[in-house]
Amino acid sequence: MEGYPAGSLDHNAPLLIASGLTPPANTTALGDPRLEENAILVRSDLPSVDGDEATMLLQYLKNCDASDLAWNGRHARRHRFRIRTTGRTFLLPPRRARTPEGFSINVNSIPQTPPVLHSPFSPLSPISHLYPDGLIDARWLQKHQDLIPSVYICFYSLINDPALIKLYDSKMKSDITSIKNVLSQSGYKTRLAVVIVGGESSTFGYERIQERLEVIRRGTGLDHKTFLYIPPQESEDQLVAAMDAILASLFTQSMDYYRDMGRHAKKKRSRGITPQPSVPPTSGTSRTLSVQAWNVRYDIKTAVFSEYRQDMDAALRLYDNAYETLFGSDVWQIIPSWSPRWNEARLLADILALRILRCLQWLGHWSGSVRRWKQHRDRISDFVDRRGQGTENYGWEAWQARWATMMAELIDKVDIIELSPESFKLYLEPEKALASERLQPWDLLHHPGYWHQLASRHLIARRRFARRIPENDRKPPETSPSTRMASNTYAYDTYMCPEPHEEADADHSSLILNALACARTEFQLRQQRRLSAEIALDCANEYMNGGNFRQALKLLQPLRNDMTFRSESWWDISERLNWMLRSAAKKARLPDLVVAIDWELLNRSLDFTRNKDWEYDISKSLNHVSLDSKPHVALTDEQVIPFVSVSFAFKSDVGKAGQACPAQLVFTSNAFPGSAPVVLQGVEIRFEGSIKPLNITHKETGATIEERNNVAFSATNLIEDESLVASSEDEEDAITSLTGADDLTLNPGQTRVFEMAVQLREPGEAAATLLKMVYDTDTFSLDYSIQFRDTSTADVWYTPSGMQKRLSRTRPHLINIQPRPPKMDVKLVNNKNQYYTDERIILDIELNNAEDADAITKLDVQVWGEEVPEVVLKMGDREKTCVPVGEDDKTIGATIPVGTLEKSTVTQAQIILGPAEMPVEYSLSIKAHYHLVTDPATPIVQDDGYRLIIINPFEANYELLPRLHPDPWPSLFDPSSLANTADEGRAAPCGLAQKWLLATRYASFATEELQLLDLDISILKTHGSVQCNISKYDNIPEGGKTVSPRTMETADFDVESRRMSLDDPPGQSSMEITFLLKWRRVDSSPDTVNITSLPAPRLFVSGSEPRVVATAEYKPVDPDSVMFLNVVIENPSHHFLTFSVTMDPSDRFAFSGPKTCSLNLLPSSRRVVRYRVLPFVRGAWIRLGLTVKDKYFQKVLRILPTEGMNVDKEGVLVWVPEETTTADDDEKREEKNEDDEDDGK
Amino acid sequence: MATIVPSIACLGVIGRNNNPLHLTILPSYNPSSASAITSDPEKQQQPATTISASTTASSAATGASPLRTPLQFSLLLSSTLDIFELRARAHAASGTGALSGDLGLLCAVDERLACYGYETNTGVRFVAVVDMRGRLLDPTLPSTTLIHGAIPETDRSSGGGAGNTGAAGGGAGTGTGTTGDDTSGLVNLPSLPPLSGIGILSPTSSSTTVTTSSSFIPGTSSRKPSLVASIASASTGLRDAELKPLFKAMQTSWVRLLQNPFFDLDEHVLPGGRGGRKITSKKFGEDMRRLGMGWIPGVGGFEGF
Repeated sequence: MEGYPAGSLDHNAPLLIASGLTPPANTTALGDPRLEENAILVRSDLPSVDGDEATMLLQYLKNCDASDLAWNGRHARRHRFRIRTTGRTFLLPPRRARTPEGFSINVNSIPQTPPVLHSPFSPLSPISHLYPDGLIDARWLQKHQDLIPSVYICFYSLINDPALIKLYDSKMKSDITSIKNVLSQSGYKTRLAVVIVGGESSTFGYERIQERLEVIRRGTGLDHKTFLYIPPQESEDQLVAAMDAILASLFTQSMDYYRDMGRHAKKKRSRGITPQPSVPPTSGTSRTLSVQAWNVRYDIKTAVFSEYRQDMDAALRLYDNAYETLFGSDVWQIIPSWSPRWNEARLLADILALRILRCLQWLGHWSGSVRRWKQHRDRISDFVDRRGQGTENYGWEAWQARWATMMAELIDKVDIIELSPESFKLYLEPEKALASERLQPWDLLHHPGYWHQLASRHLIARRRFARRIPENDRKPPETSPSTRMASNTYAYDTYMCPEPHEEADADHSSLILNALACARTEFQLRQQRRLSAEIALDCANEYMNGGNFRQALKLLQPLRNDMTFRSESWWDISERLNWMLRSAAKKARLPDLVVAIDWELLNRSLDFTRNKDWEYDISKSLNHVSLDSKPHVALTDEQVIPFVSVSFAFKSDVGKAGQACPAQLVFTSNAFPGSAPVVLQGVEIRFEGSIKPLNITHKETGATIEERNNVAFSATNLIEDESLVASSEDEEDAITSLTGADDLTLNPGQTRVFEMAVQLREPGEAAATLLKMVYDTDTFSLDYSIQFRDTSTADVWYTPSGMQKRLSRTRPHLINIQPRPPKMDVKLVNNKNQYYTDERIILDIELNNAEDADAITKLDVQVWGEEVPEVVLKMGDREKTCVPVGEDDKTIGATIPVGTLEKSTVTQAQIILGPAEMPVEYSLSIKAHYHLVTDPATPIVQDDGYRLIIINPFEANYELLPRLHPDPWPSLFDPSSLANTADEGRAAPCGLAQKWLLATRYASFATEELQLLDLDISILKTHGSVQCNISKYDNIPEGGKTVSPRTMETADFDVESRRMSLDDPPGQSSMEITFLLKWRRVDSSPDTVNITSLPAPRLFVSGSEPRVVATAEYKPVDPDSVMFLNVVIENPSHHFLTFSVTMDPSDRFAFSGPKTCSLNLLPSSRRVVRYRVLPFVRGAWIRLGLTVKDKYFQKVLRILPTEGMNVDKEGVLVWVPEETTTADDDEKREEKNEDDEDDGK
Repeated sequence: MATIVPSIACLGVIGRNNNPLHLTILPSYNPSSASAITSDPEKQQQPATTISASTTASSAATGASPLRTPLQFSLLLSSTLDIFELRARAHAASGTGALSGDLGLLCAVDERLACYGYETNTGVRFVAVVDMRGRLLDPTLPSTTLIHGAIPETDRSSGGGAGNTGAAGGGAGTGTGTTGDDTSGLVNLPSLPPLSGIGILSPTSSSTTVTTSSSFIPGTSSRKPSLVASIASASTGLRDAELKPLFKAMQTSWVRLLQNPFFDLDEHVLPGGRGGRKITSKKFGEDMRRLGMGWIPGVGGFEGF
C-alpha cells in the first residue's frame, strides 16, 4: 500500500495521549511549521511520574497500542486505543488558521467583514494544501489520528511527605485546572482524564488519600469517570489490570467523542450550503468546491469517525455514499483532467475503495469485497478511458498491479483465519448473502498468492508498454525544451507512477520479482509446490532477462533436482526448465549442468519439441562455454533421463557354470532425427553375483553396420581379461573383467543390439545391476550410469534379422547359474560286499577323466563315524594319513593332489582303513576337485559318498562240561603225591585236579565262505588259586577249513584245572578266556591272517562242594557184554562226608553192584562205586535209577554225566549204542575202565 | 445483442501418478485487448513456445485463439495437482464423510480462468479449465449460435467486465449504477439479462423469448428452454454443478478408452510412481474436443455420452 499518503488507508483507532509518564522534556511536534506557529500548548508544571510504576504503565500502554492490530473485529481487549505518550507538554494544532497574509492590503478595495477563519486543514483556509478546490487529503485523517486525541490522560503521582502535601495538592489542583482550561479554550472536545498513581498502601493512609483526592477532584471540577486513582499494587499484573479497567472506561468516553465528531460533520452536511473560503481564490481556475464535493467531504469525515467507533456498517454506507458522489456528475467529472486535482480525486477514489473493501472484509463479506474490487477497477478503467489517458498505457497497468497488490495486502492485514495456511483452503466460500447467487469463480476470495500473481502479470504488461515509449519521450524534459512543450502530461498517465523518461529506465524486473516472490511465499505456505515451481520459473525468467544467472540457477536447480515434473512426465514443463537452465548454466559456466541438460534434451520420446536453433550434437555441448580444464561429468539416470534406453537380457534365466550364456545389450537411441551420432568410448556393465564386470570399448570398424527393421545387430566377442591380475593370491579370482570391442556408434532412432556370450563361472545368482556409458570428447568426458531396475528392463530378445521375441521373464537381466556338471567319474571299484572286523580294509578308488580336456585334480577323502581307525589315502607311492577335520573328532579327512589327469585316462587310489575292533559303520565321502586346463576359472567338483558297514564275521557260544580227571588225587596220606615236583624253581600245582570239557559252538556270520585257519582259546585270567590248562585244538586241516556262512561248527577243548596246593582253602575258582579264530578271505593272499577274538563268559572250575561224576564204559563187541558204570564221588572239601548210594532196579537193564550202600569220604578224597549193567535194549537211552545222597544234609546230589551219558530231571541216562564199534575201540575202552576201577578202589 | 458466456479453455486428464495423459486446448473468444492476459512476449521468445507463438499469430485474424500457450496450460494443469493433494489432505485431517469425486472449483486463476476438478476412484483426475468469457453468444447470427471467437472484435473486454460490475454492485447491495449517467461507460449494462431472468425465462411464461430462442439452435428443440435459461444466466457466473455433466461425459469417454483392448493403461501409468506416455487415441482426443466445444453451462447431458 505504498505510494498512498501515510495514514490514508490505515484503520482508524481512537487516539489517546498519555502525558506524565516519560520525562517532561519529551514532547511531540506537529510536523508542519505552518501549524506550529499557532499551536496550542498543553503543559503541566508538575514532575512526571517516575519509578517502577511509571515504567510498567508505559510498557503496558506500549503493548496495548492498537496501531498495528489486524484490521478485523477480533480483539481481545475491551478497548482499542492508538496510544501516544508525551512528557509534560503537548502541542495541539490550531483550531483556526490565522488570517491570511495580504488580506489587510485589499481591505480598502473590498469593504468586507473580517474573514471567517477555518480550520487549517480545510480547503477554505488559504494555508491549506487543499485551497481552494481540493476535496480532502490525508492531512485531515492525520489530524485526527495523530494530533487531536480523543482522550488526554495526565498522570500524577501522590507524595507522602506530610510537610509538602498541602502545597503539592494545591499545585496539582491548579495544574489540572489550567490544562482543563487550555483544552476547553482550544475548541477541541478532547476528554481530559487524570490518573493519580502512588500514595500509601495502609488502610489508614488510604482513607486519608481518599480525602485528599476528593478535595482535588472537587477543586478541578472533574467527575469520577475522569478522575482516577491507582493505589499502589502488589504486582505488575494487578497494576495492569487496574490500568486496563481505566482504559476500558475511557474507551466509552472516546467513543462518545467520535460520535460527537461524526454528528458534527453530519450536521454540517445537512446544512446543504457551500461554505465560503476565508479569502476568495484568485489563482488557477478560482474554482471552489461544489455542494456535492462538500458532501463527499462530510461523508468521508462521518465515515472515518464511524470507523473510529468500529461501526463498520455505518462506515461502509458512508464511504459508499462518498464514493458514488465522487464519481457523480458534479465532483470528479468537472475537474479538468490536466489539473493535479484530477489525480487527487482518483487517489481519493482509491482510498475510498480500499476503505470500503476493508469494511466489507471486516464484516465478512468476502465475495462482496472481491466484487467491489472488480467494480472499482472497472469504474476507474471506464473513467480513465473517457476522461483520462486511457488504459492502453503503462500507467494503467501500473495501477492495476497496484490494485491487485493492495487487495493482497489488505487480505494479509485483515488476517482472515479461514484463509490461513493451516485451513487447507485456497479461497473462501461466499458469504451467506451471496451464497445463492451465480458467482464468478474469481468472486470467491482467493488467498494473497493469487493476487500477487495477478499483480505480477500487470507489471509485466506495464513493462511491455514502457518498452514501447518512443525515443523522443525517453529524454528527460530538461534536456529538450521542445518535448517539454509537447506536454507529455496529456499522452501518459503518470498517476502514481513515474514520468515516461523515468519509466523507460525503471527497474521493472525487481518489481515483477518482488510480486512473484510474494506470491511464491504464499503458495509455498499453502504447499502448492507445483504452482510455486511455476512462479519460480517465471522468476528465473526475469533473472535471466536481467542477466542475473546465478539467481536464476539458484531457483531452477532445485526444481530440476526435484525431478517432480520429469518423474510425473510433464515434459513440456521440464523442457522449458531445461532450456532456461541450460542457458543460465552456460553463462555461469557449469559444464556438468550443460552436459546433463544436453544429454536429456537429445531425447525425442519425451515429447520435447525440436529447437531449430540448436545443433543436436552432444559433442559440441561445451563449445561455447569457456572452461579452464576439461571437465569430467558423472551423471546417473536418477538425475537425467537418458535419451538412450538400455536393456540387458540373458537369453535364459538358468545357465551352467563353465558354459557361456548368450546375452544381449540393447541400446535404443531416442535422439532427435538428424542429431549427430553419439559415439560412446566404452560401456561397462556391472553385475551382482559371480559375473565379473563386462567392458566393451569402442573400435572403429569402418564398415557400416547392417540394419534391419532399424535394428543393428552385432555379435561381440568377449575376452576374459586376466592381464589385470596384480597380486591376487587366490587363483579363482584370476579373471577381473570380460572385455570386448565393437563399434559403439549410436545413430538417432537406431536400436543397437550387442549379442555376446557371457562366460558363466561360479554358481549362484547373478544380475546386471549397473550400466556405465563413457563418452569422451575433446571438451569434456561424461560417465553416465543407468541402474537396471526390475521394472525398467525390456523383455525383448532380438534375432540377427532384427526380429523381436518376447522374453516372458520379469527380470531378464538376472540369471541363475547352476554348478557345472562334472564329467569326471569318481568311484570305488572292486569293493567287497561285506567287510568284517579285524581285517584291514582296502578300498580302491578309480578316477576317470571323462572331460574333453585335461583336468588338474585334487582328491579329497573324508571318513566319519564312531572310533574311526587309522585311514591312509594312498595314490601311487604317495601316502597321506587322514587327520581330523571339522569341529568334531568323528571326521577325518585327507586331500591328495592327483596332478594333471589327461583326458580319457583312469587313475587309481586307495583308501586303507585299519582293522576295526568291533562292528561299526563309517561314512565315506570321496571328492574330486578339479578344473580343466582349458577353463581354469571354473572350479568343478565331483563327489561320491559311501557307507561302510563292518560286522563281526563269527559268533560263538560255550559250554563247560564236567569230566573225570584220570589222575589220582593226591592224598594227605601219601607224601609223594604232595611233593612239589618243581620244574626249574617254579612251583607246580599239586592240589586237586579236575577235568572239564569246553565245548564251543561257533558260526560264521559272514556273507561268504571264509577260510578258517586255526582255533584257539586263550586264557586271559584265572580267579582263585587254580591253574588251568587247555588243550590245543588240532582238528583243523593244513591250509585251513572253509567255513560256510550260517553254519554251526563245534570245537571241543579239554580243560584241566588243578589247584595249586592241597592245603588251599576250598573255594570256587573261575577263568576268563577268549576264543580266537584265525581266518582269512578265500581270495586273499595266503599270508594274510586275521584274528577275530570272541570273548567268552567267565567259566567256573574247581568248586568246593562235593560232586558226583558218573562214567560209563561199554564195549559193544560182544552182544552179551556188560556196561561198567562208575559213580565217582569227589569230596574237595576239608570235611568228612557220608553219602548213601542207591541203585534202583529197572526192566531195561540188569545190574550188579551195591543196591544200597553207604560211603564215607575223607577230606580231599574221592571214591568210586562200580556197577555192571547189562542193558536189554540197544541203540537207546536207558535210565539209571541211581541216587546219591549226602547223609548228613539229607541232600540228593546231582549226578554229573560225562561222555555217552545224559541227565534230565529224573535221573541219569546212559546211551546204549548199536554194536558198531570196532575191536580196537573196545579194547581201549576196556583198558580205560579197568584203570577207573582201580582208582575207585 | 451479444452475450459472453463461459466456455472450456482446456480439458486435461491426469493419471494416477500425477502424469498428464491428455490435454485439449480449445480456442476462446479473444478480443485483441485480452492479449495482455494471454502471455508476455518474453515467454514466447523461448524456443519451447515457438509453436504456440505461431498459433496466436495465425489466430489473431479470426479473433479466436487459446487463451494461453500449451506450456502455460500444462503448468496450470500441473498446479491443480497441488490442490488435489491439498483437498485430500484436508479431507484426511477433517476425516468426515467420503471424499466425493467431484471437487468442484479448484481455484480461479484470474478473472477469466478457473479450474474445476474431478477425481475418479482409480485416481484419474479430470480437470476442466473454464474461460469465464470464452464464448460470444450472438443471437443475430442464427446459423452459428455458439461462436468460439468467430465474431470480429466488437467490443473491448471491459464490456464483460462492466457486466460483472453491475452484478457485483448488486450483490454488494450498495446501490451501484444509480447515477444513470449516459457517459458513465456502462453501455453494456442494459444489454445484460437481469439477474432474475433465470426464473422468468421459463418455456411458458415468456413466449417472445421462446420465439427468439427458436432461432438459436435449429434441430435441438427439446433442449431449447433450458438452453435459453442457461445462456441468460451464464454471464453472471458458474456453479460447480454445471460442470458435472461434462465430467460425467469425460469419465464415460475414459471408460470407453479403457475398454479398448488395444489400450494398455500400464504404458501410461508406469508402476513405481512414474508417468508414462500420453494418450494417443484419436477418438479420445476427438471426444474431449467435442465435449469441450459442446459444453454450455447449465445444459445437462451430452449426446452419445
